[in-house]
Amino acid sequence: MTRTVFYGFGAYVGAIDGLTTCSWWADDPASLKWSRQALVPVDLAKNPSAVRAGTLKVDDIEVDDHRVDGGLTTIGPRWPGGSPIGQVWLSDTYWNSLGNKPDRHPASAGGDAYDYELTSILYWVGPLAGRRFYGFHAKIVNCNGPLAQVEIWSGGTARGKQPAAGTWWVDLASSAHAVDPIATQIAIGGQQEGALFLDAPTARGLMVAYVKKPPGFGADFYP
Amino acid sequence: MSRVPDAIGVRVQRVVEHKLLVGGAAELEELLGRLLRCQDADPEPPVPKTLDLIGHSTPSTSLLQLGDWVIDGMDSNVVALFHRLATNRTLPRLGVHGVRLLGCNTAETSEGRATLDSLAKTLDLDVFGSVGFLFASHYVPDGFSDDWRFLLRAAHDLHDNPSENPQRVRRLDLETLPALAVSTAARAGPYRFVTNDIARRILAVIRGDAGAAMVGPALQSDYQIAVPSLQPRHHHIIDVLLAGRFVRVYPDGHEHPGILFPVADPAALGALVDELPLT
Repeated sequence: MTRTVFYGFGAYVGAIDGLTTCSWWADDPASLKWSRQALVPVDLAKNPSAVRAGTLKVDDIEVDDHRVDGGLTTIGPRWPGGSPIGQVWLSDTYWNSLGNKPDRHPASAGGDAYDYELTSILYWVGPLAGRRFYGFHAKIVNCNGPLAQVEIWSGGTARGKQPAAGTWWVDLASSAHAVDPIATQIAIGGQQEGALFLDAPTARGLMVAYVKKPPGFGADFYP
Repeated sequence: MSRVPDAIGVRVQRVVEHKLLVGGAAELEELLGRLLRCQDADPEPPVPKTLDLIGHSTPSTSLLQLGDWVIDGMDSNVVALFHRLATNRTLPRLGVHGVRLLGCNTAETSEGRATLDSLAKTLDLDVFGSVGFLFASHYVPDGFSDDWRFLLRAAHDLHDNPSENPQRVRRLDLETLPALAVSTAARAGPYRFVTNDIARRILAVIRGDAGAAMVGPALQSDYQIAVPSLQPRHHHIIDVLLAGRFVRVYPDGHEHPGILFPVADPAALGALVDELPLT
């Protein structure tokens, strides 16, 4: 597999089974009536770091790394002591394999984000190997030569009619991802508003909040 | 490690192989002095390390306690001790590049955060606290296990939060740019020195209402335009980028990201400055 696509969810841990294994609700458990059937299992150790350490195959990744290891997941990563409420970024392969697949958009925040704002891509081979891209909603407002001036929304907020977090000049050819068909949609001379996938250093340079999930929790910068 | 003979402390002491027990501030300072004398006598450079201070934290304020000494960054005696360590460069000479206050929740309270901040500023080192409960199982014979480092936060991590202020489009106002003595300009030359008259004509070809920071790799300037400021022998600096398609200025100071403005007519900009010598 040349890449791993991760989908972001807000997570409330409801059961802990081991040092790195747990099950979580994808929405406020009270709204799910504390249903044990709604718990989603995950092994937080089945992550890209394990692939790099040679102890896991790429196809078996369940979840992105914790933030301390450069990923987007914020629950755990170990028990006890790990954070019980935060974000889980599941690999699309694992998400698709789940019998009780959680909705990409929980009922409590169904209208906040476009799917691509809750998507990140990590490449394993090819010219993008080792690079991470995070999805944003963006709108081109100006162009000049190779640079596009774009309004960019904080992660996971654009569909909720929030104002843009700001306006920046971006070299889409070097910092955005225009190769993968699921990635960047906007282009100079093309679609003017939609998905913009920025590589990790560029996303970090925006100094905007990354996906705020669960919605009641504080925000942080992109890792 | 705090010289406290309670059950939890004893369990941690049993796990960690290399530790030194202290009962208070004077004992810690004396211990560091002894270590420094050993290090100074050793021809080998020190091994990079962190200074891990391990103990319980105080109720409600979660300040680390070593014996009878509470490490409170608002206490002048505490600050004085760390100031002496900083003045003597005690910790860097021992190879210490960071200090970790390993007690429960030492980065969770306002008092704890203020202490991390105070110590980091005094020592000019990374200072870490914890955002959870710390148990004996978090330790290995070498000390605090790297597997549990997600429980630690550096003082500088506790400051910055994503801006609530949108990064709006900026307008170009030459007179608000920093005026620099060109020889000390942060991003040095080559320069093209222009007169005030040419500067006015340059501004006319810049789209001064479309400024924004750039994200991604920083662009190298082709050359810089030095515009006279009201301050004698000082100039406002304008970077010219991408063959004259953009200019970049630093209205927030040269230590902050530059703001890019598109040039409406790169050819006209070139005609105004290309004949001027590069200095």
